[in-house]
Amino acid sequence: MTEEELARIVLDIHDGPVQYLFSALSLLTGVQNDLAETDVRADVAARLAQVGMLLESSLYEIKYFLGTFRPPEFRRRKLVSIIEGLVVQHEEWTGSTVHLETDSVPDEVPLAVKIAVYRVLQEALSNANRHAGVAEHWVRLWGEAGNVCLEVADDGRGFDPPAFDGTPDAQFVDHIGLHGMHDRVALLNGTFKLESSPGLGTKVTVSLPLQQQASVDAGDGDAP
Amino acid sequence: MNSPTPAGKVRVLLADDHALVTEGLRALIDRQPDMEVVQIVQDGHELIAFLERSPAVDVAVIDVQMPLNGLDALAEIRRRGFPVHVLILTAFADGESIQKALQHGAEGFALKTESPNQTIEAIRQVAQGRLVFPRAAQRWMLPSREPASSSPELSQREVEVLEKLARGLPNAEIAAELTVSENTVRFHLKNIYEKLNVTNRTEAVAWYFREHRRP
Repeated sequence: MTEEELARIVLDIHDGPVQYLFSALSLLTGVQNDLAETDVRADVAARLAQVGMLLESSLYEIKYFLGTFRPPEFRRRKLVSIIEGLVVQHEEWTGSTVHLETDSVPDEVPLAVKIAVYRVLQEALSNANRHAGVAEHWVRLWGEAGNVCLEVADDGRGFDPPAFDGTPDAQFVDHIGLHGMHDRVALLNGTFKLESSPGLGTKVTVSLPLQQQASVDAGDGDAP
Repeated sequence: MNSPTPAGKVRVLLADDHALVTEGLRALIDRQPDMEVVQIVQDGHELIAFLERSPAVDVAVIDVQMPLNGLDALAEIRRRGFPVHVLILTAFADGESIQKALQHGAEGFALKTESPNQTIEAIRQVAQGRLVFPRAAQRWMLPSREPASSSPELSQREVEVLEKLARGLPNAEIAAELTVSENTVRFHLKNIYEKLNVTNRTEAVAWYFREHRRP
């Protein structure tokens, strides 16, 4: 599916169901306010409250859908803006706090590098949220000597990280996301470092050269 | 800014090209004892034209996705200095929109993917001059003035008050936790604002969060 097709679907859902559901919920809430001043039967009030909860749940699920499938617009937006967007979405969805610092990030970053940084951060935050057992994360994004660098850290549970030197990983299935990050960075001639041990938190550091060969594939393109 | 008289109702303008949304919200707002819809417009151009001839609006609730999009209309409202509080109402809670809403001087940001009751409450807050943004917006809430110094000398007590403020506690709860009166809390807040060179709670909390990021 192309970015344009996906954007169209997201827009259709925005223009249709979101508006209908929000409007229906507004009308319903108004009716409930009116009825609260009368001696309406308790079972009727309870069923109206149930209808309200169903409508709210639908909106809640659509919110996740829109957030997940709305294309990040890698081509148009600068890397810092894309990363801020991902951090805000992560905070909204998980209720966690992400401390983001950016420094000297170049305005012009190759598309493949933007996508790689986005995917690595997405995976690292998702891992941290699922496994670290803490609700606070630190993310740094900076430019340095022809590279763009990303660091994602937490003070959580930590674990014994796999070696990325070709040694067979007994927990390969559990670590598939980590291997994916490593391989994605290697494909762009970057460096990937994972520091972790039980009880001592986790830190992922990635450095990607801004000079990329024209032949490097942008990977999975603009699809989310 | 216009301030509704204590006995008066908050006068609300709705700007959205989805007629269903404005009708639904109007039905809900007009049932509130403290607010009323005074005008509905369907795009940013109509919104600007209306405010130009009739400034008697306390809160403008503005959709983002409409002809002359809501964020551009907001920028125009601030450029022309219309005395109205602005609440952005949208389905997309993306960082770019939140940041633009803040930069262009909105006072609030509410979501169509959440209960309309939250929108009503946001209108109420914004009308009182409070900022209502998703928690994630804190990173962009910089006071317009530079702090008096990079590390103002806050007393131990003031630091405690500021920490509680940053947890979102109202004065009464801060007072209860410190076992002091609300007046004492207000006294500390006044000193904190002076030392940080800020004018309100939001700016003080924004200062706190900036200072407490890990180096």
